[in-house]
Amino acid sequence: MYLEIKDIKKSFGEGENKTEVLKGISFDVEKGDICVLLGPSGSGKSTLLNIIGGIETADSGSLIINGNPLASMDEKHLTNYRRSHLGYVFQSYNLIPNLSVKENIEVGAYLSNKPLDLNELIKTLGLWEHRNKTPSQLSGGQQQRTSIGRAIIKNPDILLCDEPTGALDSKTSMEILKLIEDVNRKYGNSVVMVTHNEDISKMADQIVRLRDGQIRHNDKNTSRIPASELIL
Amino acid sequence: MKNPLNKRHLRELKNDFGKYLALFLFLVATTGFVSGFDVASSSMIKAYNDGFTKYNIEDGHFILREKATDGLINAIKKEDTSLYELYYKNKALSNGHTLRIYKNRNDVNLPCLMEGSLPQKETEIAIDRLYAENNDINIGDIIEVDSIKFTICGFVSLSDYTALFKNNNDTMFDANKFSIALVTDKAFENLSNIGLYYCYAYKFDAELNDQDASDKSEEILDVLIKNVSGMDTDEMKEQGEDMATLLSMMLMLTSDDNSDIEGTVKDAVKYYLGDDGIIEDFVARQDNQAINFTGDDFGSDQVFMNYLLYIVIVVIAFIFSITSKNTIEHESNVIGTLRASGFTKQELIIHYMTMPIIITLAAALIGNLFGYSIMKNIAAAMYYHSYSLPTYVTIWNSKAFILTTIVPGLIVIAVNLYVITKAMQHSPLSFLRGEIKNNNRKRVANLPNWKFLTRFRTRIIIQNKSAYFTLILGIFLSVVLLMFGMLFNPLLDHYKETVLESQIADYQYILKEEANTSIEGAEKYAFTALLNEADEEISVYGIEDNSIYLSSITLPENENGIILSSAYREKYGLAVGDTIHLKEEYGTNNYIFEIEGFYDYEANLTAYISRINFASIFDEEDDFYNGYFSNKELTDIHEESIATTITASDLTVTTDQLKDSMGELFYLFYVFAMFLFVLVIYLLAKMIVEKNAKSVSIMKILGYKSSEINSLYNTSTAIVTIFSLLISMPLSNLLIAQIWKIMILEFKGWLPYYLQPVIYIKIFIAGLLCYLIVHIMQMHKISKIPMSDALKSVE
Repeated sequence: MYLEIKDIKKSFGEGENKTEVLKGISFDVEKGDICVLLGPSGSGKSTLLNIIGGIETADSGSLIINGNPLASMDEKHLTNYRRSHLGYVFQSYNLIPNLSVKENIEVGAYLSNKPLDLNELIKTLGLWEHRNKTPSQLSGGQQQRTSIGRAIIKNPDILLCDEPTGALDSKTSMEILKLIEDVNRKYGNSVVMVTHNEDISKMADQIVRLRDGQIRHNDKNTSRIPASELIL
Repeated sequence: MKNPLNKRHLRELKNDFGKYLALFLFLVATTGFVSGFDVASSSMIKAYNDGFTKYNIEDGHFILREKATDGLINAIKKEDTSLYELYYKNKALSNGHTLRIYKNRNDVNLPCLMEGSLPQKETEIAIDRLYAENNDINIGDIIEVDSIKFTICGFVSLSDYTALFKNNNDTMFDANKFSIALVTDKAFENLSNIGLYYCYAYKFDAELNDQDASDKSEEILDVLIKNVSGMDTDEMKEQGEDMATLLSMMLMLTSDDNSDIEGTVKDAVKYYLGDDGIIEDFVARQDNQAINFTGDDFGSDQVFMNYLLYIVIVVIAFIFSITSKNTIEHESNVIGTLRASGFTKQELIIHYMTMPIIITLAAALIGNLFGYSIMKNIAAAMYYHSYSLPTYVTIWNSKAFILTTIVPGLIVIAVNLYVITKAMQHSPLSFLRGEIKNNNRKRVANLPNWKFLTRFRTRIIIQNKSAYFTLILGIFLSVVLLMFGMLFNPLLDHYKETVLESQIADYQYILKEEANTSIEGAEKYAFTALLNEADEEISVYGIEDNSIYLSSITLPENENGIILSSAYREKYGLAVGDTIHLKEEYGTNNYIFEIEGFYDYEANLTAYISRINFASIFDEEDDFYNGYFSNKELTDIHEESIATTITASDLTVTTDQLKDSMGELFYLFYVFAMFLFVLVIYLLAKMIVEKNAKSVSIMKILGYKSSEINSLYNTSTAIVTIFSLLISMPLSNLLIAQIWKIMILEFKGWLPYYLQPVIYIKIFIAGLLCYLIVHIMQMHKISKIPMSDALKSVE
């Protein structure tokens, strides 16, 4: 197992206002798999992703990456963990406005000792023509491609995607999902993707269905279809 | 690999060029201003200090009524001390000014020739450069002294008169009406001996430190007194009166007219005691204001300027940090993403601190260049306009560099580090969710049921409270500087008016010896100068019980009672019933008086007792007097009997000189404050509009006109600006009044604090005008915000 999640619990608020968001989540993700966390709003999927990403701490439970437990890590170690192992893609692209496409991707490369080839990646992302443009000159899809580029250039072990197509139309969403799939196939990273869109889960190797902070189903997808064939 | 985030800095600079340029230029100006002063003053201090050796400045001097005897000269030489004749003649010019004329000097207190040449011919005269400048005198001009016409051949600076103090006890030097001059030996002899002073400068053969030199000067004084009286100082004090009594008793045996003989003997003894005797003055170099005042003033200027720089730097640092904090809030999502991607907090703190530090250090460096080149000359010109300084060479001043470059850099780093580190404390998730603003999770403040617009504006003020706090701070500082710049001239004018109004008599004479006058209205008084607990000179007057010139004073009957001038009361915070301790400057006698009242007199620190009490306390004859008050000139008193004549123009020397030498500096304050005012309002108002760009954009979409949006955002700033102005003015007044109290204690004499009421109006109008400029700029900025801003997902 590359990523092992064991009995993760998380609640917000105190006393009467206490809300248990994750009620003991356990599952594993294989190296190189695409794992989709599926569930409606409030199911706890984003919280779970943030805990996997080390930007939120669990109340209890453990997280093991490639055999290394994360639970006891302090902020400094968590930063190193994110720096070495993770790539993040958000629904809002969060690009740096006064850097070009190429430079925004370089921001990711800076964090890695062995980044991927920048120009090749830009071509893979289909952004070669736009590499010198600033984010405000790009469409939403192009911006999300750039943010994927920024996440993937450091060749992370795990690519975390939080509703990466949430702000995009279906055609662009398809392109982005295809890109994530291509990257996954080409570089062999594990992908953990949060979505509430059932159709997207069809491209995953593993589907974890959450509801009310609990795993309802954790299935290997034996009938996986390529992203390009998804109907969104 | 270089951090790609670094590429943002240049773009950020380009994108917000106006803001950074304004900050940069202001810092350059401030640093240049301060470093210019630091460099000029330190270079001049170096020249001034080197001058002690270069110009062979005296270790002290004394003035005798008669030429020193060979015995005295030899006695002083035995003390490993060289003695030099520095005779001078005080001559009144036709315009009432005084020229103190010396022979060309070759041994001690050498002149620095500033322009032209030293006198070579009998008809040539070199005068002080500053006096010439103040009176528009040029080389080649003719001046008449004792009916002899002299041609001005050169301008000099005398090393023992860098500040033109006519008398060492004067409150202020007078470079407008008093000058030193040099002529040839022959020309000196040609002048009448009226106003001739037998001045001797002494110089120790060995180099001594200040304390040792001061002690050695005491020894010289002792030798001096011993040689003119036959006793040393202590003996003289103890035995002087006994000897007088003994001699009188001896003489009484042989005379019928006992009282006359006793008086004669006492006079003979007193002649040597110094008060009216052969020693007219003794000034050790350490006590010589004409030599030391300039050097002391340089030091205090530097301290003052550096404080000014640091206050401005702190305000700028806060502006930087608030701007950075605002950017951090604005880029919250990006920061969250970067942190989630593995950027460390330190990397991002350094990133956001880089621009302020680069701007500050670059401005400090350029400011130093500016200071060393242009500002240094301006500062030097101001110093030359105040003092009779010798020539100087600019020297590299590492201390000034540290104070104007390293220290401001450290201040900016410290303030920004604190504010940015605090802003960066949030978790990556908080950044991603935009939950970093402190008030986000708090409940929105409940506002009264005001009109919508009022509530909206109030919300803007609450939302931007840290920016507005800095705005209030910046405006307060600007108002303090503006007030400082504006108050000085009216304060001096007001003081001058007060002094003239309270002038005791049109003519006030201090006599060297008793001299009768038949001019009607002349009133005798007794006078002496004593030192108070703070070693400040106090003029003590013994006046007639029914004085026509000081008619409102009710003189104390009690011998220990005293009336003080209101100036004395104000300066030292005294009240009726308090006691004051006065002492002789060169003697050992101490006097304790109880304050019985105050006399409304602002011109000087004075004390009044009855003439009878004066004679008793200071052991004088009952009918002793040494001065006259008169509203008419006493033309029947011989000039040689008069030590000093005080007229209206003498009373206003302090104000005239201060105005002359400090006026430009205060004008600079004024200009500087105006710039600071505009800068602070501009930067913070700009930031507030930028912070609310999205809201402005939404309001435009909703159909609000630019003018309506202006009235919301700009009016909020206007309200805070006006509020700040209104509270800053009285607070600044209180602050400056307190600073003034401290400053005035260091100042010899008295200069009461006065703020001309119209200054409030001037500052308010100046503030509003500054704001108006910014308001117009912000109106333009608001009108340029596109509606699409609200629709963009990318910020």
